[in-house]
Amino acid sequence: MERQLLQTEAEALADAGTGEAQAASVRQGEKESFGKKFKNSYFARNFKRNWSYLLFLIPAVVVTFIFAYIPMYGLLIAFQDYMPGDSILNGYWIGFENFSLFLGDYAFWGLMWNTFLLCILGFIIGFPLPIIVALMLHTTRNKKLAKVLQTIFNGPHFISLVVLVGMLQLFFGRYGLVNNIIESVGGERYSFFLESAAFRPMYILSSNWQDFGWSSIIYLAALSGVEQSQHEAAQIDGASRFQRVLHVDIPAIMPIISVMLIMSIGGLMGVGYEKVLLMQTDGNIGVSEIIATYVYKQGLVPGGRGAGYATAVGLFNSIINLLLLIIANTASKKFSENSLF
Amino acid sequence: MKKIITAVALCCAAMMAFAGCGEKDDRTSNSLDVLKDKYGFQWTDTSKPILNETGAKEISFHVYSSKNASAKDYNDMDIMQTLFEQTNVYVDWENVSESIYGQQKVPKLGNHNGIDAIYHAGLTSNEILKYGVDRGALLAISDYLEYMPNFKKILDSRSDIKKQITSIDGKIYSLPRIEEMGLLQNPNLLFINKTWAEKAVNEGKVDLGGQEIKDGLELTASQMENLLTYFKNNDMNGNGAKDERPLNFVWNNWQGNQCDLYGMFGLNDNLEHRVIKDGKVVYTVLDDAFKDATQYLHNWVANGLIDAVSFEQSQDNFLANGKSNPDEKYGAFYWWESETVVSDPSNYVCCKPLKGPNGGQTVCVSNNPEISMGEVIFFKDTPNVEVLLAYFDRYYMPEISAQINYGPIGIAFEEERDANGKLVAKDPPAGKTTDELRLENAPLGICYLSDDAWENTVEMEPRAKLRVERLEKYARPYVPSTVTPVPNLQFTKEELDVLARYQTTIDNYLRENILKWLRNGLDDATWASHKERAVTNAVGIGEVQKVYQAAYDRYVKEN
Repeated sequence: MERQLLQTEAEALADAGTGEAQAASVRQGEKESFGKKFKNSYFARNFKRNWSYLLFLIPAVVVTFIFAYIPMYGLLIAFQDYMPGDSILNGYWIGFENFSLFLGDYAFWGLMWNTFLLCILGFIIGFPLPIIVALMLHTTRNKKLAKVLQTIFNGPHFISLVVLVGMLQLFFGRYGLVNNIIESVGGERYSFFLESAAFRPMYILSSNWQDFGWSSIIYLAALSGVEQSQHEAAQIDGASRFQRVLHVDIPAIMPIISVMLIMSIGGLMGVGYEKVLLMQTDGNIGVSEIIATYVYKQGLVPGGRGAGYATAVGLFNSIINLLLLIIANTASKKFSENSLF
Repeated sequence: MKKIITAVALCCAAMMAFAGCGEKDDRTSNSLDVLKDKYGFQWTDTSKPILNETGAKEISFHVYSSKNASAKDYNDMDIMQTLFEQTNVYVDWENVSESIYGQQKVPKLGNHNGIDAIYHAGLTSNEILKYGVDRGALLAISDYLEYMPNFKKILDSRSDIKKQITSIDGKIYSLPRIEEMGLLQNPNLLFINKTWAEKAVNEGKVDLGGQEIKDGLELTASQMENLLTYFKNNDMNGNGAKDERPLNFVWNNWQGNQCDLYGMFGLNDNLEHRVIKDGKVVYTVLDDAFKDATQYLHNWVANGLIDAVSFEQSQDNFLANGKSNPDEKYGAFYWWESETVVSDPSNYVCCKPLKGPNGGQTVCVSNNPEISMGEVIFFKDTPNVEVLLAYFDRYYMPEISAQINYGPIGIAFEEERDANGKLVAKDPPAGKTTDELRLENAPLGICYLSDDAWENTVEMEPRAKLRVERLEKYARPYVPSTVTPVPNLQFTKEELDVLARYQTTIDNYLRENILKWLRNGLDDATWASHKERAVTNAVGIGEVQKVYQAAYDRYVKEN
């Protein structure tokens, strides 16, 4: 249906195009003729009919344009010897030097590897967890309990990162709760913050603990749209609760799952620097130095290579993300009906 | 339809208007003759006003400055009003908080909209080179030295200061803050718990060679080890819990850090691991003594004599545990002073540096400079800048410096001088500490307080005096005369590129490995490969060392 509409629209536009060409050849009443054609075109008629709805789009378009597209011209500084305070078109162009510096940097592969591992491990645990939780909450017979649990699960999402890392230090610090328990049962104190082996588990598990409840909301919403009649039919056919989850609920939320999958693959290398930086110590810096913290150090800490270089590294990272997104989307289009674009 | 288009157009126009708004500067710059004739501009006699009454009314300056949270607005500070009365130069201060300044500093440098100068600018030599030499936004103060008799006198008498603040192109772009108390070069002192140590000696567990346990105690590494082991294995504070922490510090803190421990092996380590020895820039981490030290200290770490919490704790944590009452937790610690750390400082004695197994006995030589450049900068297009420079020159006069740094006469100091003509500190009013009073009433910033000022103008604070005494006894005599900190050096643009290129890599490499070695041990093969790898471009110490050496050679050669 949608495709058909698009086709008619394209035809209408093509019509308008030929009409314009004709008008040009006549060279008389050029404007009028084009105006008339336009007025009668599909686009114009459609616009006239629906303009009040389109009006609602304006704030979103304006906000996206102002805050997401206009700032993009700042990316130009990735190709400059930029110094804060310079105008963006300052003329200190250096081409791809910043990029080649980064690709040739000895830290490059370590950074990529650390970023990739941290993200992929977080993704492997963090992606299915909210789905499972949503299915569990949805299937719970006691709806009151489900509501209470959901509230509890959502709570941690509202803790700020600084507070969260403070909590981690209280719990996992050398004289923190966990170590006190370990010692009281006769174990040795373990420096979670100094052992590089402990960094990734601590980071990933705390992130997931913080966000699994919040991320499950979208699945819960999708699940509430599953038609009751399907469940009833399955019940009549003698399906158990688990079988119903497997054969009714999961297929019903599959489109959402694949959209979420594509989006999280697109953000795979896009981990923020704040929490990593807060958790970084000399002991774990070997695994906790990631692209984002590197960008921070190069761009904002005095003595780094400066804003231009940091922007180049960030842009490089975003390009990888974009590629991942396109790959995931194409794959999803090929193997299932679902895709983002 | 038309209405919508109009509305959208209006919105766009409104946005453009916001983006384009800015202050307009309607002040005019006067020639020197006009300044002299009409406004009575004079700068030679520093006891007289710089401008006449007309000047006070018609000439003004706008200075942007960060201030600490408890300070008064600079326009309301007594010292600023005193300065206005003395000079007739009207300065309008625009104060922002330190955190806002952190965000605003760089944009303001690029687009300074009617700001004439930035006070507390905090620019690094790197930034000064970029904005002063490269982009040409900053005023070269050195071209105007004749208007600054006090500052010029300092530069003429102190070539070391001049060298440290002169940029690579031979010009000076910023006014420095100089507060020379000699506190910064050796940041650590070792303190030991007196009661605990006495207990260990009395029980015959540790032999201190008959030394009394008081300030100036000198311990060898093995005596220290025995003491710490004893602290570790016994319930020293008698509370039944195993909460004694033998040796404490804050890893890689600017003071109270681990560096003094390497002094046992004759290394004058610091956080950059870079120091001048016999005129050469050397890295302590490339010295074989560093391997011996690491291997030795590894045992202390492995046996829990240095509690691993020292590597992960923040300064706040360290201080909170030190104050824990009534059970003391710290057997020994490195810090600036004992008074801020523990609740009963009288129970902690200040020791001489530890004597290493091979006889090494020295301390950290830090690269924290007592001269900070980049405190005040001026923009090139400031009208009547000569007047403003003459005004800021007054800040370097001893009594003004003292008031800038500690607070005004009448609040921080008594109106009456003592018999030697020195300022006398006034007792703070009830309910306030000296520190609070100082933060509230003193702008800090540029000043010149050096030996001369301590002798003739103002007394050091008691805490600083105590620390200087301790350093003179327990730290300075142990620093070899051939070892000095790396001064503020000036680099060329190419050199800065090299430094920027390797800084993060070197920093990460050293941070990671030094701690790893301390905690997991270091074998000779690892050390050998480290020494090879560290100087290659994979880490970059070799290149950076060359750059520093070149800059230092220039520094020595000048004048």
